[in-house]
Amino acid sequence: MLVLLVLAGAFGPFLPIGDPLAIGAGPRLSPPSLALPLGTDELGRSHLPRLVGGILETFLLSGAAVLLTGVIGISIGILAAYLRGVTDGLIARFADVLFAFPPIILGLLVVSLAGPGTLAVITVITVATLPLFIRAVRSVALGIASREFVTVAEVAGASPVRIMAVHLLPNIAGAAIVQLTYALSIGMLIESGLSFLGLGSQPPNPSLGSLLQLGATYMSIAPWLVFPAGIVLALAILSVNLVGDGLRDALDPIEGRRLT
Amino acid sequence: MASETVVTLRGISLTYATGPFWDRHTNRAVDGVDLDIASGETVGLVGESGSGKTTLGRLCLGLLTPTTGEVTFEGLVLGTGSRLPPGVRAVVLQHPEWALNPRLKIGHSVAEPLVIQGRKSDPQRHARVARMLELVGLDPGFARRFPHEVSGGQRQRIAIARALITRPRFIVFDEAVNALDISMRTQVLNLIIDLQAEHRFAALFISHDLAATRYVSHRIAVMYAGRFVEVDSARRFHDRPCHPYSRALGDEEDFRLDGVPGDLSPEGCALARRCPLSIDRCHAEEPELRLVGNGYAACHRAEEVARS
Amino acid sequence: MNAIVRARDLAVDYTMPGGVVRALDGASFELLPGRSLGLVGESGSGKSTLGLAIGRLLPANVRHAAGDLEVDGRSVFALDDEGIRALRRTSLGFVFQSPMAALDPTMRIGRQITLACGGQPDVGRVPELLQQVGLPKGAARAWPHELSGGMAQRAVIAMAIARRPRLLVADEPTAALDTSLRAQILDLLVALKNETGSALVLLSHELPVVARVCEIIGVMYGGRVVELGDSAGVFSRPLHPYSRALLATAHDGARPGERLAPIPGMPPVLSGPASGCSFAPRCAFADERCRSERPPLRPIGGRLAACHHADGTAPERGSGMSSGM
Repeated sequence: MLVLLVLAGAFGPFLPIGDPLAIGAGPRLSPPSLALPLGTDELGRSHLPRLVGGILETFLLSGAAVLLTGVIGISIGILAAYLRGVTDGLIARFADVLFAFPPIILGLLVVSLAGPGTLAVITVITVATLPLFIRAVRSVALGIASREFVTVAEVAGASPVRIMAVHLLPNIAGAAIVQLTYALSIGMLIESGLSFLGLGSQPPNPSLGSLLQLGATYMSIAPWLVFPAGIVLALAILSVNLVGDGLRDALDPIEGRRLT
Repeated sequence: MASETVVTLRGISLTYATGPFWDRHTNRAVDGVDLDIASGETVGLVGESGSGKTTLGRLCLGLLTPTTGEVTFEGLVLGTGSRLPPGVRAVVLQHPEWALNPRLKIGHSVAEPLVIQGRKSDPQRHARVARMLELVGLDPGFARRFPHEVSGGQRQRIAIARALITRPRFIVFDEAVNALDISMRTQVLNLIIDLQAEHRFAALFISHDLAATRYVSHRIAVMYAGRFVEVDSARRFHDRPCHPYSRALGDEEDFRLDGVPGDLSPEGCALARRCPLSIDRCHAEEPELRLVGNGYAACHRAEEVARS
Repeated sequence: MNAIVRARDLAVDYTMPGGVVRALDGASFELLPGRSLGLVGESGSGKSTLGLAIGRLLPANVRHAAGDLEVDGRSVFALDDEGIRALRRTSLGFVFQSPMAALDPTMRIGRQITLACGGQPDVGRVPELLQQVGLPKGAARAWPHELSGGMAQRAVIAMAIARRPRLLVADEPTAALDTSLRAQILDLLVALKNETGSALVLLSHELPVVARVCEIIGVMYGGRVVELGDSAGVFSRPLHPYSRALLATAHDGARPGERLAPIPGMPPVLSGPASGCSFAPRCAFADERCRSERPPLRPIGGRLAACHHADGTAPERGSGMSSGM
C-alpha cells in the first residue's frame, strides 16, 4: 500500500493524467468522469494529478523533516546516553520543554517569524517530532551503554567517538528506524494540518492538507473533492505505521529467540 | 611469586552522596584500601553484594576516580592527566550475553583492542585472532560467527580471548565465571590459571564464591562494607581463615551470620551486629587491619578464630 | 505408602523456531510423602522443566511427548484445567529463583500472603506464617521493594506453604542470594519440611549444597535422571560417571594447588530421544554399547543408576577423582 502511494507520488508528474497546475482542464467543480477521474476543483484543475502531487508534496516535506529529526536526534540521544550526568540532564530537560509545545501553536509561531512555506513546515515537523525521538534514542542507548562490551572497550582504551560509532550507533539503529517511521506519520499529520490552515505549502502547489481544506470548503456542492484526499492521508499514515510495526518485529534483537 | 608490582592502591576511598539535597548522606563504597598486585599474581577479592568489591575493581581500571588516595599503574599515577597506552589493561565481566557487541562478528570483537591500539592494518591481525581463539579452546572459524550463534560458555571464552589479545599487564575478572555451569566454570578457571602462567599478567579476580576464588588466586582479600577485613594467601583460606566473616563466606556452621549484608553497625566493627562472636569491644572499637600469622585481619578475636 | 510425586519415563519437547528440542528424555523418579529430594544438574539438564512439569506449569510451546507424571496418584497431564488448578491450590507450593519476580510490587506482603491462603484465612494465620519463615510481624505491612533479597525469598516461601501443601518445589531458591543467606534459606526449607510434614523437591546445580540438606539425590543429565539414591551414598560414592565428574568439579573440596578436572565437551541438546547414553561423548568409560543402547535406570547397590558400567567402575570418592577425565 505504502509502496503504491509512494510510487504514485514519485511518478505522478510523468503519468498521463494531466497537469496539476493547468487551469481549465475541464469545467469548474465538475463531478468525476472518465476523462477527469476525480473531477475538477474550483479553478477547473483536474483533481487526480493534484492529489498525486499532493501525496508527493506531503511525503517530501515530512520525509525531509524526519530525516533532519533522525540525524539530530540520533546524535543528541547517543551523546546524552554516553556522557550521562549534567549533559544528559540538560538534554532531557530541553527535550521536555520542546515536547510541551503543541505543534500547531509552534507552527503559528514559526510561520509568524519566518513566513509560511516549505521551510516553515520542515522546521515545525522537526521540532515537533524531535523530543519524542530523542527520548526514544536516549533510552535505548542508555541500555546499550550499560552493557558490558562498552565497559570492556573503555578499559581497552577506546575513544568516546569510537564507542559511540562502533558500539552504540549500530545497536540503536534498528530502534531508531522504527521510531523514525512513527515520526514520519506524525510529520505527515502535521504537514497536512499546517497546509489545512494555509500555513504550509503555498498555492498553487497542492498538498494533502490544502486539498482537504479545499474539499471541506466545497463539501456541500462538490463532495467528491474531500474524500480522495482524506482517504489517501488516512491510508498513508496507516501504512507508514504498519511498516513501522513490521520493521520493529523484523529488527527485534535476534538473541531473544535463541535456543537455550 | 616475587615479581615487579603492576598495580598499587594507596589509601583508596570512594564516597558518593545519595538522597535529596536537603538530606544528603555520604556513603563510603570503598574506605581506605591498600593493595599491591604483582605481575604473574592473581589477587582474589571476595565479599557479598554491596561490599564494594566491584567498585574497587573499577577503581583499579581507572573507570572511577577515587575520592582520596592514589592508584598507581607501573609507576604511573592514574588520574593526573597522564593516559595509559591502550591495551595494557583488560576486563572480563559477568554476563556472557552482554559481553559481546551483538552487531559485530566475533572476530571483530576479539580484534577490537588491537584496532584501538592503532594496529588496524596489521596483516597479523587475523592470524592473532585465530591464535587467541585456539588458545581459549575454540575453533578459529568462530571469528566469522555472530554472538547469538554461540553458547554462554563459549562467549565467556571469547571475552577472555579479547582481553588477552593485546597481552595486557593487568586483567580484572569481575564475577567472570558466575554465570557459567559448574563443568564449564572449571574449564574457564583452568584456562585463566594456564594463561596467566604463560603471559604473567597481574589479575584481580572478583567473586562472591570463595571456593572458586581460592582455586585461581594466589592471595585473597576479603571485603566487607568497603574495607578489607582479611588479606592472606589462598593457602590460608583453604586452611583456616582468621576473620569470622571469611569463615562465614566459607559456609561454616559455627560462623553463620545473622541479618542481612546491608545491616552495618554504626560504631565499632561494621560486622559486629551480624557476627556470632561479637563481644562488647567489637561494638565500641573499630578493629584495624593488623598482622595475624602471616596475613592480615581486622578482628579483635582473630587469634581465637584462627585456632578454632 | 504411595508416592507423593512419581515420574515415569517422562519426555517433553520444546517447539522452537529452529526445530524441536527435547528437554526431558525419559525422566523417572518417585518421592514418598514427607521426604526431601534434591535434583542436581547443569543448565539444560532438564531439571527446571521437570520442576515445572510437577505443577503442569510448562510454557505453551511445550508438548508432552511420552511417559507420565503423577502427583498424589493423579496424572497431571490427564487432569482438566480446573483439576490442575485444584491440585496446585491444595497440594503444591512453588518457590523460584528470583523472589522479586514472584512478588507483586503493588501489594503489601501481608495482603499477598492472605491471597495465597485463599483470600479468607483464619485470624492469626498470616502472623503465624511470617513467624514460621522467620519474618517479623511488621513485614506484613511492608512493600516488596522494602525487603532485602533474603527477606523477600522468605515471604515467597510463606506464600508457598500458606495452604499447607503436601509437596514443596523449590527451583534454585538461593541462586539470587548472597552466600551468607543461602544456608539460612536452605535450613528454613528443611525445617519447614520437618515441621509441616510436606515433601520437598529442591532443584539446584550445586551437588554439595543439595547433599547437605536433602535425604535423596537425583542427578540429572540430558533430560534423564541418571542416578537416584540416598544423598550420603551419592555424594561419597557416586555410581554414574557424570555424578562423579560433577563432584570432581566442585571447588569446595579442592586442596591448595590441586588441579580440578573439568568435564570435557558440552552438554547435549537433544532433538528427539537419545539413541544411546547421552553422556557417552564426554565419558571416559564409554564403549560401543553406550553409544547404541540406552542404559535403563536400574538398581545397583541400593541405588538407581542409568549406566551400563555402573556396577564395576565406582571407586571411592577421592581415590580416583580425576582418573580418565
